[in-house]
Amino acid sequence: MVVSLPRAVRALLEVHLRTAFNAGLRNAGLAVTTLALLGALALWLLLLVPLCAVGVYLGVSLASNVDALSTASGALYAGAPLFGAVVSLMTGDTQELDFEKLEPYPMPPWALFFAELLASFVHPVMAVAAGVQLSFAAGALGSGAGLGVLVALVTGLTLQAAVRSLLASGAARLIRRAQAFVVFGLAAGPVAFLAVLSRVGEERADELITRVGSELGGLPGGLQATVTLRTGLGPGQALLELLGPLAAALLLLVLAGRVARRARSAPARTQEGPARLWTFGAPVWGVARLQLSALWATELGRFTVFLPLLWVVFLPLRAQAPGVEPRPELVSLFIWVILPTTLAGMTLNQFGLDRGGVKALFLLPLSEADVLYGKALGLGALLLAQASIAALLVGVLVPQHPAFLVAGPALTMTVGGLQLLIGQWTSLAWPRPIPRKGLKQPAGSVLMSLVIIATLFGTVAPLGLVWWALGSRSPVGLALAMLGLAAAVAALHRVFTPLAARAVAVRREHLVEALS
Amino acid sequence: MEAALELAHVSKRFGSLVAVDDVSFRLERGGFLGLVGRNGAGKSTTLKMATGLMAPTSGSLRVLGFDTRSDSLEVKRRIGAMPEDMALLEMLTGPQYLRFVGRMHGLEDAVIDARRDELFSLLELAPQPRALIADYSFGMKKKVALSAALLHGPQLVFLDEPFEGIDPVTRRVMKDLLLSLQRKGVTLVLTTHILEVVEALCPLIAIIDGGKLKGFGPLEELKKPGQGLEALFLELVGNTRTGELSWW
Repeated sequence: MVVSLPRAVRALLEVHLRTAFNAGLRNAGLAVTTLALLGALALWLLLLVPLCAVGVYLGVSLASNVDALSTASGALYAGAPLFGAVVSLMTGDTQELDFEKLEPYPMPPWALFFAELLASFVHPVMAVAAGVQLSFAAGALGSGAGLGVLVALVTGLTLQAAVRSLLASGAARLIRRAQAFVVFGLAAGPVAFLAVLSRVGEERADELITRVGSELGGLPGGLQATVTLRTGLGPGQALLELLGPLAAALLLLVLAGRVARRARSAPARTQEGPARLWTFGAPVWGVARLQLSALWATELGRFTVFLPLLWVVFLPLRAQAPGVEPRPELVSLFIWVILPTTLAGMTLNQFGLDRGGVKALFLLPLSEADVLYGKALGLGALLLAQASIAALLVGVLVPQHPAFLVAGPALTMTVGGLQLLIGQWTSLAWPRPIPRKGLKQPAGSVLMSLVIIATLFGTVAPLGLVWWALGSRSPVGLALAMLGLAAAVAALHRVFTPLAARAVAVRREHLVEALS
Repeated sequence: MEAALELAHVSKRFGSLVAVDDVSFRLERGGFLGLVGRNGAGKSTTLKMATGLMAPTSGSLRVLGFDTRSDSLEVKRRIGAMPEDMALLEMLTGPQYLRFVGRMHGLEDAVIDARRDELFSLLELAPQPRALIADYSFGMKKKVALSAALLHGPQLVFLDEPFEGIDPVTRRVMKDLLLSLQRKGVTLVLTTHILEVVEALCPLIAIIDGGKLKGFGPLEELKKPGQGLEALFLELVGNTRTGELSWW
């Protein structure tokens, strides 16, 4: 039977919308879902309008105050792809390709991918990311740079979405990995171009736009041209400059792919003899280890460690503006803020990895508080590992005062700790099993996405201000302040976890039913 | 005429684990093959390769005359598959899911709805209109997955553990349905641990163990006189365990 491609693509898009809406209905009912959708729209507008204004202001002021503005816009440019990466992770099953379920249908992979790409743009949270990027376009237009920048930004945004989808599907089904590399390479061109634009004067920007615009017809050529233009020192040296970050990105991709593949071929372990037996001093450590082990056993958990780090490698492109007094700690701030959000699908759904096993957990002689403490410890350990790797990379790629490399992970743990506290309640309200294979996060509902965004902005705004204020005066003071905040959040767990534990006892049946 | 399913020296490796090891057989059109084996024997991996969801490490698979690697779309158009994990989109209702599946196979909505009603009625599946598949019982999910596998009228149907979690009455109906499909020329491949089902339904048996094909052919030719499928199976795969605990 001949399948009409437009009809099949339409069916895929419809199923995305139905899935998102049904998930909202199931989790929160019609009224709350409708409110959440309206809230998402409002949030988008609230973000879009002021950000566009900021973008225009930055653009208009580019010539008169290039130093400070190039650093600020560089930081914003750094934030956009990070934010986009987070968006793709947290929107989960309404975003990512799931070839396991779509492959049986008689559709060529490109058609499936095209539909998924379109779907990623109609999701309200993706729209927020698009709004952020469009604000940069507004800034570029405000500088009088011309429509070429807008074209470059839209191309960049599309490619980012494509890369994210391909990366996700590439890890889930490694046969796509080669494609992911290619698209990743193509995306690097516009990203690098944006980085250039953020640190040059108006005249140079016009020149760059004209020249790169002529190259947009062939993106690989555009990449080469961008590299050449970046330093004005000739293609060889320029290419070398960009090769480092790209090579690091590819290395991380390969690592992520290998880690994911090891998870997929898990049966091989049965031939390696008995696994090492577990020992732990207290039940809470046992639960922590169980949580960590479950996290590491999933492709999603492993990939989550690596994926955000891909963006770290692009930080130097934005941090080393010539002639500008650098504040690299402001650029790397984005990493510390974003890291906990990449785990949001798990921190806000703490029983999801247990799936049906949650019943076994409740049959064990453990208190509910021990279960929650254990889960917090397990997830916290993964976050700490992620932050430590990020600190290592940031330290190498974006040289800065060592105190920032302590303050950064402390900030990550503070935001993550607060997220874990909130997650104890969202885990009870909207429990959903997390698949062990594939990269779908089950936080698909708009409501959960809003919680993630609210948590992110609610914690980042005050902490970012502290960072901004203290960072330039006393890095050591900032590190101490952040460590203090992290300790305070740990203390908050002591106060609030027993309350959540009581709620676990009440909602136990609901949890078992929803996760089994 | 091309065979419905033809495996030629098919192997699949996951690292050091050989899940399927040099398996070859040919299933003619209209056949009904029961693929049996222990847990982890390689049955589901074989089905995944036959349905084009997984590429073999070596060897070739042809389905209805098409190579599963180079002509995977042609294969997918002609087969129906019900994987063991069912692979359902659980945030849809059953009717929504079947509408999606039907559209992906190019069926008109009216046709999809009519076939869905008939399948649901036959399988006694009457979910609440707004209930999501995620909230269905295991047996109900199995019925939705079976309906999805049959909706587009495939020429070859792969069913991985279709009877698991199904009540006895519906199991009887499903057996009748599969036999009627076979009479109409549909080729069926079934995996299950319930040997009685295989014995009752499948004229052809394939026994797989440790990734290797231990036996293939009509049951009557494989077994000794008076021997049942269970005895044949245990003989071919070997079993030295007694079912006794030393400490109890």
